[in-house]
Amino acid sequence: MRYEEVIAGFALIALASFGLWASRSYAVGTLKSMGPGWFPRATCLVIMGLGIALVLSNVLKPNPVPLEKNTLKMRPMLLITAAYISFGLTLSVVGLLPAILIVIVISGLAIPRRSLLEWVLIVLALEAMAFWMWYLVKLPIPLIGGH
Amino acid sequence: MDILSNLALGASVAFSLQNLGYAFIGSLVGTLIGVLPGIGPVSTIAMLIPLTFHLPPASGLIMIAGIYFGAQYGGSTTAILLNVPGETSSIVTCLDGHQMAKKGRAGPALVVAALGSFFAGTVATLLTALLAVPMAYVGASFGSPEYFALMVLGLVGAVILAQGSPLKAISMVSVGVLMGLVGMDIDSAVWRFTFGLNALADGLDFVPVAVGLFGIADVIWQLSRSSDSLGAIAKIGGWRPSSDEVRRSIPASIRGTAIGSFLGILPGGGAGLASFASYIVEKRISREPSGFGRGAIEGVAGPESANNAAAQTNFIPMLTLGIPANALMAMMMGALTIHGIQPGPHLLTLNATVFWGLVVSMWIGNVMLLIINLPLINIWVSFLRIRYSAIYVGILVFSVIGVYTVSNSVIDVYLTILFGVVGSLLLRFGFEPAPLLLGFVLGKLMETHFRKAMIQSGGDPMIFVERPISFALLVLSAGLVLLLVSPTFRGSREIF
Repeated sequence: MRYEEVIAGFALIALASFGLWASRSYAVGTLKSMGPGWFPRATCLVIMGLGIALVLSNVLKPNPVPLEKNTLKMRPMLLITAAYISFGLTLSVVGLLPAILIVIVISGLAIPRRSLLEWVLIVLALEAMAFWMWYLVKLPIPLIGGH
Repeated sequence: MDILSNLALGASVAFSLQNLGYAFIGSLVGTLIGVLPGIGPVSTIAMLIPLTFHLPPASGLIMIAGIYFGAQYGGSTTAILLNVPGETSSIVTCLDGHQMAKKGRAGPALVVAALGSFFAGTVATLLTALLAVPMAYVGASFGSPEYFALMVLGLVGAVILAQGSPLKAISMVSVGVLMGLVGMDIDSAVWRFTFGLNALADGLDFVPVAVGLFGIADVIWQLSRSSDSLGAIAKIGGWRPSSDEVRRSIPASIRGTAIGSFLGILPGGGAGLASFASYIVEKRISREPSGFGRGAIEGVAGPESANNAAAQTNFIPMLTLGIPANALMAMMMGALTIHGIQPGPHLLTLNATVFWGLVVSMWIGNVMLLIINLPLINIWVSFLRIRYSAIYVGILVFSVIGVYTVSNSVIDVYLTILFGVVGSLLLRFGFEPAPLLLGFVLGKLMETHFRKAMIQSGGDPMIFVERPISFALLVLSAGLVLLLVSPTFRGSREIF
């Protein structure tokens, strides 16, 4: 049994159940005149069936074949998420360039050990890029300061 | 003579100074990002789509087409010089291309790859021009049952080529379809899966999904693999191929073009499949197959021509029928829809200038790549030295601003990171994001055609079997599914 596959199967079942729950109020209708709920619910049932098949095929498999080791590191994932969310939260308060600075600092920390020179170069290059993009598409937000 | 007047119309669009400029910038940026380590064509296009949104449709698409071919080409440069394939279609180029480079024949390998690609691109452009009108004519005769069956075939084709378990690939397609259904249902005006968010009323936007799943997820994934060290970059040496190399390359390139052009049109086909097929053919018909893997120039000329031809003929079913063959075409289709252009049989009549302008500019893109690539190779080589740890921050900053500019909304930024995290989890659990994107792009249309077919038949699902074309398409899909579960095919699929 490959536990990753089993987790993946249960995730599909969970997604399908959520979809069925979320679409509970959409009219299903008949084949002749299908309501807004028919196709979504049918798709959810297909996903659920596939999830069950994935779980069963791995539980019933006698000889486990190990998957290649592919881990996901928490540090880059959390820092990149934080960088994006910080952009959304700070943009309208501090303006584009400071918001980008925050993105650079947070996401830059995803890789340990960076020299000061490297930091300075990255900040300068990317702030210039941000300015250029702002100019190019005429973004309706201030470069610095709230709005 | 219709073809000529169509191409003339296209040329009048593509040769405008402005559009030539966009084609040039596109090819340049595409090549630049294509040679950077760790960024493939799909994520490149995903990240650059938001910027083209601010251009007129024809110019935006011309620029994206340039990026597309540039990124493909950049991939073969890294394959030859660094033994790092930019994407699946240049994996085979590594086999013999890098061996040639090790023997000091990197220059001829690059020249043959460039000229082979150019030749293939030219032939495939002509083919696109020739086939587009009849294909669109066939497409226009299709009713809803045929369209539904065609989409099923396209999605099954995508599943066949996905790596790993077919079960998981079909799951991804279905999840994609479900995501495609988000938003207001046109027939009943019911808001589906919007959770009260106005931003979702028109459906999940393409940009956050594409940038998240293919751009951000890729960054998180790459940062989780710790290797940031570079291999040795091969010296280029002389450029001129020997007369023996020329003699062996030309037929290989012609065969590769034929194979690639054909495979690019098939559902599920694309540059990756084409280059593998061409490599196998070249090895089989060669008088000295033992030379393959040790720097046989046919192993560069054939696959490089094949992948470029397929990359181009891929556009035929996408533009004329609205069926994308792979993730890259789904990306292009998404880009078109952002510009308010719906690919399909009516594209040729409704947006003739856009369509023919795009076809001609594909060829222009190929010419520009020839001009940009070889003379500037030393600049590209210097980009090969840039480390991923330095560029991923740039990718993030570029994408966050790009995503924001599409509708000046931070909701898109949050959705992007959501799909970025989801995408990296998918990779972690061995799911491919490509089938998901195809399902997402086709989801709503599938529902529409299914519903129309049911109204047409009065609720009788036999309509799909009774109409000959839809029956044939469904039989074909069923055949592919059988092939997929048969043990022999699964065995041979592992090789890829």
